[in-house]
Amino acid sequence: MKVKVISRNPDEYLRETKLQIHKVQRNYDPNLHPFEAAREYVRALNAVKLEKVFAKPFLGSLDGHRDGVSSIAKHPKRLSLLISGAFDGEVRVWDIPQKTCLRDFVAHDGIVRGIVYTISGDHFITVGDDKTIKTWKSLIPQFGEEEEPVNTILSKTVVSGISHHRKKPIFATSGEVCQLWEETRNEPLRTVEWGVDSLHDITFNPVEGNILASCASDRSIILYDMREKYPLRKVVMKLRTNKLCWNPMEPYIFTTANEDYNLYTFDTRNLKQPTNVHVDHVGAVTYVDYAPTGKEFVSGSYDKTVRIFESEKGHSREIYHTKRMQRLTCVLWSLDNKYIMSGSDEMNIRIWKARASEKLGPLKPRERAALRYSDTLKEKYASHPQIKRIARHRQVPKHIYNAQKELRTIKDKSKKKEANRRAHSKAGEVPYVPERQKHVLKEQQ
Amino acid sequence: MSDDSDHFEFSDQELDDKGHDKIVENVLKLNKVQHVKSPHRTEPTTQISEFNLVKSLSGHQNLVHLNELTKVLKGRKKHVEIANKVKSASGRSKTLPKPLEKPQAERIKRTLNYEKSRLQFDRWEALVTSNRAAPQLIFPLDHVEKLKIIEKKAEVYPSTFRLKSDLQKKLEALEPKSEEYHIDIEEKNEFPLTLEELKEKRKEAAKLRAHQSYKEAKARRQNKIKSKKYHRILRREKIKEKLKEFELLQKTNPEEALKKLDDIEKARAEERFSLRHKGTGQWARNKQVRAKYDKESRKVLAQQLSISRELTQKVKPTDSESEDEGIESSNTSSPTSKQADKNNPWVNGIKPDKDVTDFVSGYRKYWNEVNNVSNENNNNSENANNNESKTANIGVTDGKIKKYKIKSDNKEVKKLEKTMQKKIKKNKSKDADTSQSTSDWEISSLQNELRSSIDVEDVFETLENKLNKKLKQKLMKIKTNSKTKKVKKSTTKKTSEKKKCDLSLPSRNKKQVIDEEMSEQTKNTTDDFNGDNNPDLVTLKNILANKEKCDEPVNINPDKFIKVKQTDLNTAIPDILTIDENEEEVNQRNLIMEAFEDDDIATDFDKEKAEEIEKDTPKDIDLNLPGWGSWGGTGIDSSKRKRKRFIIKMPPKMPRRDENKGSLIINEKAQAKIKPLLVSEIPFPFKSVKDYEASIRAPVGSSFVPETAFRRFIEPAVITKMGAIIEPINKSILMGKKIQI
Repeated sequence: MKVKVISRNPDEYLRETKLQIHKVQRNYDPNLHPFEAAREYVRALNAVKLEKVFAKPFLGSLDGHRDGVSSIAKHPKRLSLLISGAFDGEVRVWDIPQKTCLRDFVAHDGIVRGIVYTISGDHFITVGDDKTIKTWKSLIPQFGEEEEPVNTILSKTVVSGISHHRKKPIFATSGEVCQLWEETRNEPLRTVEWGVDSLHDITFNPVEGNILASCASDRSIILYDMREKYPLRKVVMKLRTNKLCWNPMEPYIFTTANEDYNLYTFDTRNLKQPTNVHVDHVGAVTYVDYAPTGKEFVSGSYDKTVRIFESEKGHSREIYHTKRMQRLTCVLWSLDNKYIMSGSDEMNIRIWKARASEKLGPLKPRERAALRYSDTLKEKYASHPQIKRIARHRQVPKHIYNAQKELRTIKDKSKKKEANRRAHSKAGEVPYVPERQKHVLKEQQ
Repeated sequence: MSDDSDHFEFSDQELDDKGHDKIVENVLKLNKVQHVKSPHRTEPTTQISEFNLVKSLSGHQNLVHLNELTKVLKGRKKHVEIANKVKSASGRSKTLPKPLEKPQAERIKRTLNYEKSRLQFDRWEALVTSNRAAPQLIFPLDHVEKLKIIEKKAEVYPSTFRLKSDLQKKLEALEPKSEEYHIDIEEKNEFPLTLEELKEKRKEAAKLRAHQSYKEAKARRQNKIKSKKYHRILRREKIKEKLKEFELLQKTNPEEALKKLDDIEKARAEERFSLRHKGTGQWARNKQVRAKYDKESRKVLAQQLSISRELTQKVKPTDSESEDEGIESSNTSSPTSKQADKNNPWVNGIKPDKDVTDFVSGYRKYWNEVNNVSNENNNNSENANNNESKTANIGVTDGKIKKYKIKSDNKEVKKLEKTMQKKIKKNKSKDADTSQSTSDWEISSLQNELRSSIDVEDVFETLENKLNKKLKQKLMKIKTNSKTKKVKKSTTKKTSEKKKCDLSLPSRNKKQVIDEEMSEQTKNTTDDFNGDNNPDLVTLKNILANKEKCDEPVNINPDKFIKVKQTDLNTAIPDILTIDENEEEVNQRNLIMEAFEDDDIATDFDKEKAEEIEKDTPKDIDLNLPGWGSWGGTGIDSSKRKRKRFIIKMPPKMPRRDENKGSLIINEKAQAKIKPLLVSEIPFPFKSVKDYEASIRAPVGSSFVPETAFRRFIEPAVITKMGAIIEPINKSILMGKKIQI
């Protein structure tokens, strides 16, 4: 007699080794999954909640300066090195992963206005309030050796900013005039002037290396060509521009940090109005730096917060703040697109994650797939109110909250007033002016 | 003064320089006028200070004029010519215009420079836009080939294995190298391939070869397998696959599926009567085994054979049979025209109607004409034959429609013909005719493209299709009814038949763009961003909410029982309970009618509706407190005006959805709970609710979609390599060739 038994072949459900994934039989017939959208919604909700749970962006601080940090520079070839200058003229070299100071010395009398690495990273150049441009070796001096600059240039004018060319041994300084220097020479290659106002920031275009941009104290942004004797163009804004940064992936785009709490993204080819206005700060924006991918940028502000913007959007996607962080003086995005370094008035340099809830370190394939899946879900259900509420909720310090409230009322008031004026005047007398056109006074040729 | 120093130099040449300088200085000091020294420069500079400038020594007097020079030329005859030339040139020359004012000149230069740099930036436009639109970017961007010179390792490497003797080396040197004789035939191309392209090509070829060899190996391996079981399983799998394909076809293109079904059946029939399977059954085999010893079994086998022979002989169907199967035979082609009759033994018995013959003759005439004119490639007779058979086919399908068909004017036919021809020309290369697609493009089905007399047949096909359309549904019903046992999910299939199966993956480009302020709060603030700040409003809402909650009285609505019509729901549950309900329904109706004889249903319902409406309308809220702001107590009425001030008035009449709907109550608050969870407006890149809903409905999880699709869906927009420095974009990307990553 044959006995029939219900049996399963263990090969179908058992894995051969521990390293393998459990076998799961799936039927993808949509008729069998009537609640797929609902299930994914719940998954998205959980993912967005977990994102908030894991959002711990602060990684650590580098302390040691005895005065506020005035400038920071990142090494062009190494991710772990960082140089910072302080208001008391001290320069420090940091090892970021170890959070230690490798080297410290007084470089200038007065504020260190700017630091840049040379192309190879063997040397770095500092400028200070003492009208000197000093070149230093990146190597730590041997025991008994003194900290001495390799070269010191005594500038005839005040120097307040410095930027290095990405390919050539040429750097530019700003101050009373814009000067172009060759590394081996003590005289500037070229001096370009436009107006008498001093320039407080200068930046080389990382892609089109001949183009330079600088911010002047007469509220203007000036563009230069390294090869030409005369500057290219000038844009006058309503308030002063503090810092300018070129998009590394889109050569004709640059973003400026403005005194009027906003950031403006310009297209070099059309300077009549910014292509985008980035709002959200409640204090003067002091610094801006692009992510190396060119998709995002980070800004530091006088309102004691760091904000991260997506370069095509008007509002920030993230705000970083701590209780003890004071006015931001400089913020940098690391070259591997993972970290943000911020230097502030209260003598500390802070390291943040660029994406607050990102898991650092290598990921296993399945883990990565899971994280990517949850990211996709978050994106897919982004506009659902519950998910949006959780994803965009941030705790901010009271002063920010209050300032925002105040700004909002001011804005509402002016809006209302304009509406009233429009209502009580002839049609067309009070025109609608788009937000983008409000902030540029004129474009000078 | 400088003149003096010159004199000194001329006169006292023998004096040493130092002493000379000293003397000069002393002399100059005598004058007590400060003189500007000529600058000493140790390094090249571009900037020359205005303070360092010295007036030229010679001054205006020592200027050299051209005429003075030409004076010298007067002497000789040869020089006179030159002098004249100079004179004429000086006569013609004009003084240059005064240069522009400095600011103006500078402005012009600046604008020119700017325009130049703008053009430079313009080159990036395309790249930047494409990068912005790209669904995924992988950083660092290493698109561009970095030139590297690599040794030909393949040739050098083997030689390292062996030590060569001196003689060997010498011999080798004598031998001409084989490489030099390599002539690449493909090099003669007009545009020679670049290194990168060549590499790519080689890589592709290698891939192809590898794939090929792999397949070959697999086939060889499979061929070697002798196991019957394996082959059986393989066959079964193949059959299963075919079945699956067929089912899919049934969903997407029922016509085609029907045809295919017929084909399959035909093939099976052919197989069965091919006499190949005569002795393959279990029973037959058993008998065969025994036949050697057993007379009976031999007999039975012989009998069986004779039966089979009988059965496989051609049968002449009778009239009545063909009539019964009229519908089905419409689908399977059964030519019945006069000409075909002679050749065709199957339809010998059938006599076509008069209508049919009329129709056929009319069409034949027409088509003979048409073909004579248009279709030169094909033989007329052939076409005629084709036409006849086709028309006959139509004729059999439905006698009643024939008249209409005959009337169908020539114009229509011509039009159809034209369109079909066009289509064929377009799609000659394509051979796919299923409407299942992996992209958004629709592929129109074209079945007859390969036939010789394409246009004519197509016309007939279309006509036939028109005719068959009505029949098809009936036919399908019949078929499905007969096969309900076989097909498990017949109900679900019915619904899905109409849908077009779109297998294309949704495009990943559409991402919701949310550009909003973050909702930033301090820790102490409560959730007040919902706009619930106004306490009055809160109370109002609470009151309204409370009202909703008050329980509804249980009403028996007899109307429900009577009027409700049974509707067919599209569910996956097989409707097993299909008892003849007519009688029961009637019974129930009578019962209920009896039970509620006294009730006036219509008025009851109206009453109920009015109640419902009244319940839902917001009522004025009286916030009066007795004694508030004035004296209170018995007999004291506060003034009317004061009372009025504390009454929050509601709008008198709110529009309702069921206002003009008669006997219908719509509960508008049923969705109150789910409403805050729903998206209120379409997010940016989407233009219609339909699009957005579709994007939400499409699942991405690995539990709903296959693994490969899942991997594709979850690819992030930006991928960075850990610990890799991302350099700014490089200019070479504009010029360089792309490499495969």
